[in-house]
Amino acid sequence: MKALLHIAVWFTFSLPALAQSINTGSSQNYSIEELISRIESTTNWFCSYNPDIINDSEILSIPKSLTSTQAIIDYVDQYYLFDFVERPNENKLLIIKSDQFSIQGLVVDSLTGETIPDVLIYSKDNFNASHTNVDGYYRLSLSATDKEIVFQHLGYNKLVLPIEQLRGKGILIQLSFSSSIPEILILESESEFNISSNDNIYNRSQIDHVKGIMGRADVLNYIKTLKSVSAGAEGQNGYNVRGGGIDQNLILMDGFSVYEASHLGGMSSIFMNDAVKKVHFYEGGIPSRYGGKLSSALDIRLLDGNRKSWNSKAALGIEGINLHTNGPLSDKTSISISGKLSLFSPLASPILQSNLNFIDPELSYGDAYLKLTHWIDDTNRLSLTGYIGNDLVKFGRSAVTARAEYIDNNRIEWGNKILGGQWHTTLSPKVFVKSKLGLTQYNFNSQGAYQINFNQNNEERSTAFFINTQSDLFDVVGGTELEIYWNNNAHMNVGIEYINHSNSPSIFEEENFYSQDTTLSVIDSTYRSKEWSFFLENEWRLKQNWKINAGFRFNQFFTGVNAYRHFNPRLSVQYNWTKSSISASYSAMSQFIQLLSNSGPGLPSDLWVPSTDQLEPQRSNILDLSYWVKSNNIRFNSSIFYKRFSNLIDYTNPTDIIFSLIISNQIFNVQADNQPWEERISIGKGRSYGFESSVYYEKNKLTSQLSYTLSKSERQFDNIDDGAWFPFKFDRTHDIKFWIDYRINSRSSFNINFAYTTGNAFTFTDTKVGVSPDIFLIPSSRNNARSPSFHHLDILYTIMPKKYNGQMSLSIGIYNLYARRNPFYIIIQQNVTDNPDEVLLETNKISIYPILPQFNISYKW
Amino acid sequence: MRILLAIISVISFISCQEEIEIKGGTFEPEIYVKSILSTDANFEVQMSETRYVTDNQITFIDNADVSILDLTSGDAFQLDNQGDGIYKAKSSPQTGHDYRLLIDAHLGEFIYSHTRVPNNIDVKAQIDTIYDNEGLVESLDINLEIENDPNTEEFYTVEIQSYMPENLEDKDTSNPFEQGLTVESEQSTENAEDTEDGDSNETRDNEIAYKGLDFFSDSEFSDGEASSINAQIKVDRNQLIEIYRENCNCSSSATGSQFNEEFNMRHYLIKVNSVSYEYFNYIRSRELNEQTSNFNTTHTTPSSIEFNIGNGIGIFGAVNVQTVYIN
Repeated sequence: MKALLHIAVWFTFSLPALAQSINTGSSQNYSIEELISRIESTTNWFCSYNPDIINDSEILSIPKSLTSTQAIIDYVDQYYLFDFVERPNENKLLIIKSDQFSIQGLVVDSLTGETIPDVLIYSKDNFNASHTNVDGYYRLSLSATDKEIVFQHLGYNKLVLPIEQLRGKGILIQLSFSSSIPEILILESESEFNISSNDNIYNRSQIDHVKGIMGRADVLNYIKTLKSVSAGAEGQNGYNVRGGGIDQNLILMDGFSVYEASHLGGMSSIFMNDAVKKVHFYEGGIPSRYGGKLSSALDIRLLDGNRKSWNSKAALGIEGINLHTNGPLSDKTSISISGKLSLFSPLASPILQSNLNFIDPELSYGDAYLKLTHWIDDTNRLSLTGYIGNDLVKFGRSAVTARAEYIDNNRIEWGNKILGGQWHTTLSPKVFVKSKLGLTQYNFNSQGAYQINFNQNNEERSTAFFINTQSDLFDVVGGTELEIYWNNNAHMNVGIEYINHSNSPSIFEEENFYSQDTTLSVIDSTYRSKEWSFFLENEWRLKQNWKINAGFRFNQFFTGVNAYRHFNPRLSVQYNWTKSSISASYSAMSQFIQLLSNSGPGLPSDLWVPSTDQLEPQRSNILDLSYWVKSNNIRFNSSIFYKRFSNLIDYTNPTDIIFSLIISNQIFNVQADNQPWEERISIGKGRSYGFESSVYYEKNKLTSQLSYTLSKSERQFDNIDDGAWFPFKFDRTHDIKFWIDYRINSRSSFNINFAYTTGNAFTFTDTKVGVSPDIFLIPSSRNNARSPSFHHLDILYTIMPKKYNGQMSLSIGIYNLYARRNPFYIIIQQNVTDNPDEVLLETNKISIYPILPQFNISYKW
Repeated sequence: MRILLAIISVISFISCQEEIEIKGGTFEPEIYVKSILSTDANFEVQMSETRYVTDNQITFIDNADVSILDLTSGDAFQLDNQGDGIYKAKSSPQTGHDYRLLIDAHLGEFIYSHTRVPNNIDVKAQIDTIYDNEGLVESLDINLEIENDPNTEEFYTVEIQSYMPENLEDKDTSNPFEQGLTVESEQSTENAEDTEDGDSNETRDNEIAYKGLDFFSDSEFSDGEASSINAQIKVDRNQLIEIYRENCNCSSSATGSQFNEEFNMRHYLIKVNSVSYEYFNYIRSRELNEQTSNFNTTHTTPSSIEFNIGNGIGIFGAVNVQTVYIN
């Protein structure tokens, strides 16, 4: 409740700004002479100026909304080459010629009205340059001699406008789309003005180069082709960045956290590319405005919706149905609606039934988005983002042996819900304000019911076990961020963020097939915690070569009776040459909500748990050194990194022992171990380091990227292996990714995608101990063995039939062309013979995506 | 669409399971030490090397210098090698004493450990036998009342033993639980211990069955130390049958009247051991490890076993045996 009050205060505080920033759009013209006349008639001021310097017939365009004389004076002072100097003692107002003025406004797509972030804006005359921010807002200070301003962005025609057309507040710039604009040329312009940097920003057309398992472009699949991100593994949800865990990546949908962004083992993500406007991804040099996770930040902004006309797209494929539509509800209101529904289950079920003997398997997921945007004026808008998504995996198994009958039923379900409002406005021409208030919810439930029926002494006997893992998260999120433009070479982001977390992690075990005993209750309780953050970052461009981003993020986390306070500095320094640059960065990060994931053989028992009085927040320090070279068609990037983690958590022992009993055809007396999660964990630290390199090539019809990473990631827990360092499960010695997008002609294209990565590390029970009959098996160390490497090659051919005039697209391809059987998991059966000293090993890998057809047909209108 | 279905049909016939070889690091053997000091037995230490899971050759350590120091009395005991990695001394540990194990295996560093023999406890037990409709035993409800040192946390294991009375003619063979349990001599207890440690090659059917029933500590009944605890243990018929089957030299699938007759002739006794903290952790972790070590996947991290041997692995623990004779 307190959180809501605080946020209400922020909004109340900002309301006057809303009133100030409203711009009716219409204007009236004044000459200098008329302006002087108005000033002198309505105030006590007497105006004085030098007529040799100031032309009193010069026409000024003033918005009609500005009714007070003082507001008009401020406006002219800001946007025209005049300064007004007050002499109160003489009641005199001096009007003098200035050498600087500024322009500000919004850049949008000419067809859809969508704002365009990261547009390069520059004046060639004086090397004044800037970028639009994430909301398409720009501000550029200009000199008196600047005559023409250039607006340029990937995929859009370059727009050159005379300065006269850009005076005033909230000037709307419309860029027209062009598919023939190469990407590298933009970068040339950027390096010329020392405002390149951003290899961290990706738009929809870039993401379209890479297709996922289901043959569709997908944000997370694209992210996995970046050099700092692991290619993943068979059936792996999420992604690993530079040796970090999958829970250490901040994923934001319109500024609100998403706790699980993958569907069904990485088959696709919850993000539909048609609904995505822009993607920012940071793995090093993470700006202060991002926090709460240790390894990376992925900031995904959704489309606001077409403000000019309705357009829609429908797609049908192996994965299922996608629908996307967006358009104007009124002159000032747009809406974007998207939905995805998997139809994968009917296709996959026969495979799962025949290959894995699953009974009645069901695999399904769905997503629905809604984004409503209301434009109060061109630099002032309100938006509402809504998302709901869900995954369901359900299957049963049964086996009959000479000794017993084994039955198990498994059900895993997870999903996110987001409802959030945002208000973006200008507080003054130099200050852009973003406020947000919303709710996010994540629910994970995993249920396993296991039963063994056996005949003993002519009696039918039965032993059973039931485990239920539940992880519920509910966050109330609020925050305000100010983006302040000091001048063309410096701007600052400062803000506060508040999250009220409510976590309910629980593991419930019962020695019944399905627990019917209502007297038993879950022993873990709900944890309520509060996370406050204050952040400040300043970016400077010094001369033509240096760029510095420095700041900090101060976090306070209140949990139980404790309050943790973390000061996390961030620094990024970049030096640019004409076609190359070098940068070094340092980021200190904290994480207060973490994933406790079982390493046992059974169902996933993933619990999102908070830092508590006993469990300190996780922390990381990331060092990064990078080098870029850019030429006409090639962009080369190479980095080395070092990262340290502390207060990592892991289960001390497996939580789900029963699964092994089923598979290994053994009968044990299983004892439910109904402990709270905090008593099940160990606390440790980690480190990772490596070298990564990538080459991006684009010429004519060909676009491609090759990346390679050599890295090491390790963990250390005092009570595991006597405190020795051991490989992290997702340690990737080698990681190679390669993709090609070849445009055969204007109507067809061919995609190739290849990924190779070292297999997961896992703990292999490789050591026999003792003397008969007291012999037992233990692992020599944690994660002492490797799964076979993971690799696949995919091809996809896309054609747009001529008669549909580009509206229809048909894609056919194959995922895992050479049917590589990548290990989803490995079973190591230790068959004991009559000789107790003799152990025979039988090792099998289980794959779930041996080879998959890709088929998609889409139609847009 | 027909093409699509054909492709899916082909995929369905591609096996998703394939046999592979696991690549691990280089295997380096360690020295494994096992020594459980027992108030009713002499000092004994067993040493061998760990080996790769598929390696059947045991390497014993027979050239080490092994000594046990009584830190309470100051006495030192040198243990003599008996072959097969076994070292013994003709002395027994004392109740309430601290002991240090020191081994020079000529590897550069001493192997060492420490343990304490628990104090005596006073155990009272009561058994209620539950029968089914046919007069067969459904379960045993064991009620243990243990008096101990109120100033320290104590750890316990409970074992059940099955044995065949030596003179069957003298025994009532109707139901072992109706007549109660009788143990004639302390010797049978010692032999049972030997069997537990795997030291005895004898296969005397009258005293081999052994099964760990439960383990618990004071903290499960109070905040930590307790002067008296009351533990309830339930043993069902399946457990008793399992204990019997493991040692009866009969077919595991044996059923019928002959089986019932043999089974019904067996007697049982309960042993309560006050054990050292290290040994308690060891056996508790062994229990969990046994349940996970039969199966191994990349999604598995087998449960670890808690050892207490420095510069090696293994257990140096202590047991104060309190046998409960129930009639």
